[in-house]
Amino acid sequence: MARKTSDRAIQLSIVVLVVLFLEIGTRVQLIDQTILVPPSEMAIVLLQNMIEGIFVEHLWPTLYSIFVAFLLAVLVGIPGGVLLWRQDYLHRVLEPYLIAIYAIPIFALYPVLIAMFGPGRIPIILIGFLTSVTVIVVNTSNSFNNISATIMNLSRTLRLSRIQAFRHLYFPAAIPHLFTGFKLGFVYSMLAVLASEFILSQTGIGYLISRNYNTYNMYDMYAYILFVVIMAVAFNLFLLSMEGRLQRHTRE
Amino acid sequence: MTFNTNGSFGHLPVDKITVGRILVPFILLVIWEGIALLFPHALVGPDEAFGIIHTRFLVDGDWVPDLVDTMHAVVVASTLAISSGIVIGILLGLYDMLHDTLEIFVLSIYSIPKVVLFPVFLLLFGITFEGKVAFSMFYGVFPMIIITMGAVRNVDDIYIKMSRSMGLSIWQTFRYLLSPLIIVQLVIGIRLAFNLTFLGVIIAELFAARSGLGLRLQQGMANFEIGTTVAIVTVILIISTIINIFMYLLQRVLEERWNIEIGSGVSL
Repeated sequence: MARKTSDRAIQLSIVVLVVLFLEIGTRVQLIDQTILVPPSEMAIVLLQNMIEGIFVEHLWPTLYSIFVAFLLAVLVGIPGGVLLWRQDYLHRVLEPYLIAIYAIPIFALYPVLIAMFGPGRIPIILIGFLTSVTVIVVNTSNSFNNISATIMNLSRTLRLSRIQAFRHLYFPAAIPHLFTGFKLGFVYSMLAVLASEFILSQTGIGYLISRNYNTYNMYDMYAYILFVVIMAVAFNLFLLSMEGRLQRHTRE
Repeated sequence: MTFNTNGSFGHLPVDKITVGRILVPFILLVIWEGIALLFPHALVGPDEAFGIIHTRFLVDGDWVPDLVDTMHAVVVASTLAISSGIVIGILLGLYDMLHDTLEIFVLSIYSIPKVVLFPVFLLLFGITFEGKVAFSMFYGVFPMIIITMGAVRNVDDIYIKMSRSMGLSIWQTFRYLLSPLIIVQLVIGIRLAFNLTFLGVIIAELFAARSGLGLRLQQGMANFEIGTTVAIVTVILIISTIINIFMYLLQRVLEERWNIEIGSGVSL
């Protein structure tokens, strides 16, 4: 569906209005300044922190944890998902349990992982990996399950071997849906890493937010929250636009 | 009861798949015991975890009020999240104008790691029950909106046009036209929303609460009491599995009644 310019204009004005409301509201004491800080202040403090170094120190571990966890999840998750798709018995046996996984607070196992692997980034990366991989496995298996019967029949018509069929037909057909899984896997990895840092870590952006909350440094805390929000939304919009492009490409 | 002819054990009405499903928790227990034996200082095995659960719930009753508090919050929050999610999802699904402008906001907010927004809720509500409910509702409402919206938009245009030409109100459209068509997706959404709301309550209690399972979890984590931590996670797992299985059975009943296959085919 093409995005009309008028839609974009409305969306942009909504964002501007909300920001303006928050900005004016906090300055005019309509919104209590102990609860929320003017967005402009948030941005200024964020920029200050970015230049003054401590932010970058913590940004790096957060970012690489998210990416490593996500990449591992993709490497393990896609074969796992393909396995689930091929093994119908396994799929049907696990079916009732799959959605229940979302309720498990995997980061609750953080102390266990620390006891196993020591403090540092490894437990955090593991938590990100575990959270992300389940999403990718489920999504991959769904992607392949959703391939149209036409394509499945095509492989038989062309008498392709299973590997050929997979490489040339099934995998390309599943790519758009797989991409949705990547997007989700990345978001969940980011969620898990930040949540773990928030709870029990000495490094990372999550830790910074938590520490600043505990020491009542509202300006710093909101600066980092703002950063996380912008980063998450930017990534998401970018991945969404790529997803859209991929889906238009493979419209039947 | 239907007797399956594929994979059934002779005259028994149970088929291979059901046996497999029942075996899954047992296999997981075995794996858990195995890991606990490998890492004795890091993890407690099922026997000790269940021992702790038995003591705290049945003998001392220490954790019972916490469980009640948590479940109370979960029920309130998920009811709110599910009902408002369905309503908003239907509105966004039916009215293109709303959808085209607002969908992107819904998806974007969904992608924000809500944990980092928790301090804001804490500042707004303090350490209260309302705060817990507000945060977890926020957690669970977005997937409900997204799934409902998707389900409504999947309905053939012709039905929507029919409802308009018949002059149906929104409630009538929903009740007579949409519900049978989207109920199947809705049930998946409800399951997911419930699970995420549950997670939201635990997270909220983990960070700042006066009572609740999450609080117990946080105490266990802070004091590095692995036994307590594992026991609480087990309790959470058991509760959510029971409720999920119940909802799954509901889903199967609906599938059979309307002859549609849903499985877990949703990407969220």
